[in-house]
Amino acid sequence: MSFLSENDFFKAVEEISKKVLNDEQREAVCYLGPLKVVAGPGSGKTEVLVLKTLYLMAVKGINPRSIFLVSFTKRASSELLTRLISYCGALKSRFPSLKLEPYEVYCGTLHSLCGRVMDELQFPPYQKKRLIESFERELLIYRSFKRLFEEKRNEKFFLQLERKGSEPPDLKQKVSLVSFLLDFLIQNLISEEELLKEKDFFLRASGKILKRYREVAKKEGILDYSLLEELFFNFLSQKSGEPFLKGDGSEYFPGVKFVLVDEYQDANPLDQEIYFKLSSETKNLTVVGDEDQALYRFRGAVVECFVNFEESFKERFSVEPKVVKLLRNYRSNRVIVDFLNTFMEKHKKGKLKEAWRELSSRKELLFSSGIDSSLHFPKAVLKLKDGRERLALFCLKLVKGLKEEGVIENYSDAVLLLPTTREVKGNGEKTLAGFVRELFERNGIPVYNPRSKSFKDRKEVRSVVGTLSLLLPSPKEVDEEVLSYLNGCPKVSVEGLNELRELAFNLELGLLEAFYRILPNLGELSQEELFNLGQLSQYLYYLENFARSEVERGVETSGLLGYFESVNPEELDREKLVRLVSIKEFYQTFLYLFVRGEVDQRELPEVPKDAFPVMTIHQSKGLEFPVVIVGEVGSVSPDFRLSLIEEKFGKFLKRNFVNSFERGVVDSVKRFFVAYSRAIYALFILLEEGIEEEKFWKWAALPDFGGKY
Amino acid sequence: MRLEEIVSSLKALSESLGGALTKRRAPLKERYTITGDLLSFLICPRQYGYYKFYGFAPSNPTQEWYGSVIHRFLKRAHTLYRLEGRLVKPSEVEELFSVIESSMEAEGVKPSSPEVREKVLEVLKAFCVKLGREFFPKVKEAELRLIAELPTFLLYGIVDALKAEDGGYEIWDYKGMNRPDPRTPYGRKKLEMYRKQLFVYAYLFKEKSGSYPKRGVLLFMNELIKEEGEPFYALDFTSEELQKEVEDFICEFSKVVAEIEKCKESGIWPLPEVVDRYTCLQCDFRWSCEKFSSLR
Repeated sequence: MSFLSENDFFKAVEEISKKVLNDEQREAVCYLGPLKVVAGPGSGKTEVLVLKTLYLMAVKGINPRSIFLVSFTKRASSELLTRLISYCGALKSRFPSLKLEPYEVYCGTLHSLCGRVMDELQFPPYQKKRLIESFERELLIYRSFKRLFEEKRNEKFFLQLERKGSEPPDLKQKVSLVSFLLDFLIQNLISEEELLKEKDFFLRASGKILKRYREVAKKEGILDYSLLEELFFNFLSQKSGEPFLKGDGSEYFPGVKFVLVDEYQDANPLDQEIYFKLSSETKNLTVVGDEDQALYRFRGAVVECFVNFEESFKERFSVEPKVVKLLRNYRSNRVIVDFLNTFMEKHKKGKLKEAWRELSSRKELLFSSGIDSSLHFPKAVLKLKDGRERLALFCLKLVKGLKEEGVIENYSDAVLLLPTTREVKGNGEKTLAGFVRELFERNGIPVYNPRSKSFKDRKEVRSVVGTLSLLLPSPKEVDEEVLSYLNGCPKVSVEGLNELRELAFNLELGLLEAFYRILPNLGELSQEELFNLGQLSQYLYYLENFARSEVERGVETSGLLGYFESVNPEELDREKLVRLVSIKEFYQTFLYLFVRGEVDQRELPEVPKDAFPVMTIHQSKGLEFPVVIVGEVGSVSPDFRLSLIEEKFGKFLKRNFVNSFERGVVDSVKRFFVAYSRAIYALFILLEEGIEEEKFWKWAALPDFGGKY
Repeated sequence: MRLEEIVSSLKALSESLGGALTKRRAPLKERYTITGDLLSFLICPRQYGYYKFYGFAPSNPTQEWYGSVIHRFLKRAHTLYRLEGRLVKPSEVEELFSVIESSMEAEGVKPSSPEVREKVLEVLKAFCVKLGREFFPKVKEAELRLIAELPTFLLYGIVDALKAEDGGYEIWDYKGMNRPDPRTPYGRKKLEMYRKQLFVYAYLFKEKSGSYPKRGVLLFMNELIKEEGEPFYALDFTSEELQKEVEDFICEFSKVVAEIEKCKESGIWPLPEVVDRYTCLQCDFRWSCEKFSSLR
């Protein structure tokens, strides 16, 4: 037997999963043309994508190498692949002659797949480039646009993105703005040529920045994620991409036959162009998503790609995609499903109904989990209003009580979801997360909050950075903020400090080597601390890498020695020069940005079972929890600068204009919709006293339900 | 609603549902490889935990250059054969090599010395001259991705080349090194590790295709430029005895994965009983390591 019949296939997968697909899910699996799947929370969309891929291989005999299966995050794509592999194994044990090779499917994030394909085809422009992560990119932007950031005359560029009468943004904000702007332009397919023709000063200046950035990237041989996608799109549009796109007659490159994309609500126009290009031969593009769970506008996602997918696809290919709606919710308690529907309906029919019409569609979730607490616990969605400390006390008593009574098995069965999980505000005031940590730990319950404070303020990070400044040669002049940060950092006592200093001053000890000499002196480190130090080591690795390529290109040595107070190498061979440049970069670029800004922090691969998790709403995407508590609902605010950028480039954007303020409010509502829909059995919404005085959009979290919740 | 009422209502709900309100989803199975995970863990659990699990960056990344160049070159040479139906000409070796070299440079990976660079060129030329004509036409797939699901984890690996031979298949793995000397304990240990690597690939191949490959071959590339070099080390997987050994090893692998997962959970990464000096000298964590102190 080479392939299965449709009946045998569904019979087998239903036996394996012990679940029966509903009609809509089955339709989405079997439909072979262009398809849009609108999938509400808990509607089994991942299962549908997995089964569709499996169906294509097992029933339709599609070569796995002609399937392109994309998800938004590494975690999500890893889940897709794991589930696909499990199903393949189970199917093969039932039908041994079935040939299934799930690992051959192009499954991953779009970025990883861009890299994999161009590498497999050995596309020369890709092979000569190095991919850089966000922090290294910021370092590069800072170094390449120093004059733009520092010269007074350039402030008017940044003031265009501020409220009237405001101070210009600080350096870190400027770097982030340029970083966002570059992504925004590339992702929205706005070219520097177009911008340079504009009369408007801001648009023209943006064109110059983009042009310069491309030159820098080319010179340094680097790619960031947006440039990687752009290169992939160009690759697909050239002859080099044809063997992949259309096939080269071998089994190895059979051509792309099916493209399946998850989380399409978070796609941007460049992503969409790639997906359209990939499916240009067969038109078999399936997109799955939910406009109401769009969370990533701040990273360039454009929800209209999903909302208007049918029109865009038809316009491009003259074929109308089929739309299937998966609205049965298999996750939550009936009371929660009712609440989610009421919540969205209130908003969609409310003051901003015009904006909602552009940015979403009407739909109602259907209760299908079989969990119904309307009798035992009709108040499974509850709002509570109190002071911050008392709300934290409620969290403690609830979680402790549930665990003691055996209602939950682990502390991680409950979660506190917040817009931001910092434990102390910039002004020193303790947040809800701060009170929760204090109270829980006082009661012997560990708290898992990986983003409780900024990376640079973590004890272990400060100890290492502080001690590095003792070991390494220091510059003649150090920036004031850097100096004050370093002065505030604890220094650990390092065995053989003097000898090590001598080695470092003679450039016989590099940055990373010094880091590893400090490590043993830090005492016992927790898993979380080790992850953070691992991350710090990666930054130092980037600096050394950067220094290596600077030296290769022939760095100016004259100014280098003068920069340091006492470096006395007898002769500067290549390795010493690399060390010197990396130490200089450590002070001049890395610390300068590091003390002023924020970096994305890694998390443990799994939420620890025995700790109470405190997470951001973004972190919770794709997860579910038996008991969900949502707090700090008033701290959500629309991104003002992002809105301004969208307005300024409005005429280049291929989407209908929605007032950016309204767009921001709609985004906030969607954020809470994601948070609330994580809950399986019970949902608690915490309101701080005084929230009534806040502006109306802060009520995104809780419109007036007339006392029902 | 009072807190006690909330807790008791949820308790009633959990009782009506017949159990605690806990997460229903089983955690995702992790992926493990023989070289990147199992062998690294067996060499030194602590070193593996720090680099692989916590993500520490090595301070000496040049180690990987030699092996990478060889693999990338052979992959390109195979692609050339597949697309154009011809072998790399001896005169083209250098040109192809410099394309690879510059792409590695862009990634910040460089040879440790000009001598090393010359040596790898010599090895690649020798490969093309001595083996190319016989080898490439028979390669069915290069960098074959294989994966299988085991009860507690996913086992995966990438085979350098799948070669058709006498109506069956051979799995090949290139090693950018001399053949380890079986007369020394270190050499014996290395050879045994590579043998296990072939076991895993053979097992994965069997899971994919239904039967074991005929042979597994290790190609020690540096032997190609020696006068009396012995570049091949082969295993006959048609032997039932060897197949049994493979099955036993896969059980062994599962036990090691259980150990790795225990370490991940507890954060305790023990030191190995025995470790070679070279491994320690390359390790960034040697400064506080009692194993390294004992070797000094």
